[in-house]
Amino acid sequence: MSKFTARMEKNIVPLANKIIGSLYLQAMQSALSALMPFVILGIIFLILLSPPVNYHTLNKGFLYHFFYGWQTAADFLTPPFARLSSLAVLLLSLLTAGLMGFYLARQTKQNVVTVTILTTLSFVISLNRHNDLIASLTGMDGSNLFGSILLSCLSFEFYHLLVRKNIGGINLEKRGIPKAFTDSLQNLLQLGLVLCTTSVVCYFLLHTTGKTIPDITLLVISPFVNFMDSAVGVFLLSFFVMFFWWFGIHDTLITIPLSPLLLYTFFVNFTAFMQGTPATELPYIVTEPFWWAFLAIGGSGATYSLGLIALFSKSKQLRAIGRASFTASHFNVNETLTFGLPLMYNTSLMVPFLLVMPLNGVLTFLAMSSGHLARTFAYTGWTIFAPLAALTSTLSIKALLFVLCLMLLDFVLYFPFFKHYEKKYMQENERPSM
Amino acid sequence: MNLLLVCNAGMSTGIMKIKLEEAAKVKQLKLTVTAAPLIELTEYLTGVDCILLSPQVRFALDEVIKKAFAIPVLVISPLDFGTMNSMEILNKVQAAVDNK
Repeated sequence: MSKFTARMEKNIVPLANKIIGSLYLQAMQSALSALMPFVILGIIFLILLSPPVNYHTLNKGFLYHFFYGWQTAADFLTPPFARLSSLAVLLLSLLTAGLMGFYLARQTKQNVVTVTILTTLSFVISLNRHNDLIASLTGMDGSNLFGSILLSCLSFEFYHLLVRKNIGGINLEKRGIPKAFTDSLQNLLQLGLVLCTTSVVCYFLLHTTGKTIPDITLLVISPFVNFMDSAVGVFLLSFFVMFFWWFGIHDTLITIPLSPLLLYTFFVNFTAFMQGTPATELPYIVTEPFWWAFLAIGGSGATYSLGLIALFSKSKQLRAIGRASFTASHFNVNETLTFGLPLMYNTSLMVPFLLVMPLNGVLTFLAMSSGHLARTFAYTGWTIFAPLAALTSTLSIKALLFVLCLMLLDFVLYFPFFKHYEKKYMQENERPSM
Repeated sequence: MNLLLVCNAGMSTGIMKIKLEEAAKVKQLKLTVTAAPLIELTEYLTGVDCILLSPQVRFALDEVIKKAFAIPVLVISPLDFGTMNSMEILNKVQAAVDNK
């Protein structure tokens, strides 16, 4: 075991951190998280303006009056606010392309404005099927998220290469022309080269395969999406997240590359729900809100219950860690437990730490795939207390109760392992002093 | 004293920042703590007296030392981080800055 650990620490761990720290993953993470508040706001407006239950179908009583009131308020508020609902979601890919450019440029010290516009336009070009910009507009929603990420990376990489090698840079400053004037010309040729190349490649692909670059990207990614959206996929992905965490490698190693996939499935569900699909029959089960509401209850490892157990530990130190982690657990932040108890490199707690979260995932998956539980179609951010997130992402009380049951189950699973660890911990650290 | 707290995303370091500032108040120390993601490190280096790495990014130590020139770099031990032992961390920071 220790040999294996040493090898991980020496080889895999630095590599994993290189991947997490890589330019493209970081830019993607920054871009997607910058969009989140807008996505969430749009969804909140949408929910507020469309009550999930038609009050006509209810018997007179509290619920009837509640939904009657909600509908009345929604009718009143719809005209001025309707244009806010789901706005960012409907432009998700377009905004992502721009923001990718923004963060890529910022991290490589390129001109931020130029690159932001460049990556946005490259994506828009790729959507163009019949020289009809208006028709391309529909492709700017979440359905082309993968394409938008790919195109912004490629167009940036090409542009950055030209700038680095100083190919096509126009330098007029030496000839006595004012800098303010030359700035606008300096990159003209390089930008033109990137846009022309994008356009020609898109045209070529469209006419040979009949598909745009975003179409092709989606086709390539689909098998991964389908794998993720299966009981085995959920189990393995969440297991690997925990496996790496056990070595102190942040969950972002897996959750960042996974985030566009999770956002995509969320988007598809959201669109389907808006078009009238019942929540139990939505296309996908594993989505961004699914992960944070049903799997990572209290943070990676589903440590909410573990934190509660630690809170009432016999050991003074473990109790202190339980207290330190208590508040943050409600926002799915659990580094205090991971590093404090610690969970990292802890063989006593290894089994539940690795398996409880995947188990939550599989149970939820089965409950949803069998139609017993509503699937997720709304997202209110990953820092919402899990039971509440379950409610807001499905608008179903049953989902909230389901998460409470999972928390109870997690409690039962963690408990014996924690007690064993507590005993060992107290023997090693809290010998009665002379 | 200006502290730069480095991690990869910035959620738990947010809590650490508050704890460090509380500890500084107790010690009657003038302290500003800035939290930054690892990738943007170089943009935050000016005027920094000490860099603290959170345990998640402990493997970037060599790389950060190279970029930091003369600024002392410390890794917060997992235990100090987990218990949010900001007093102890601050003691180590002071020692590192004084030894410079």
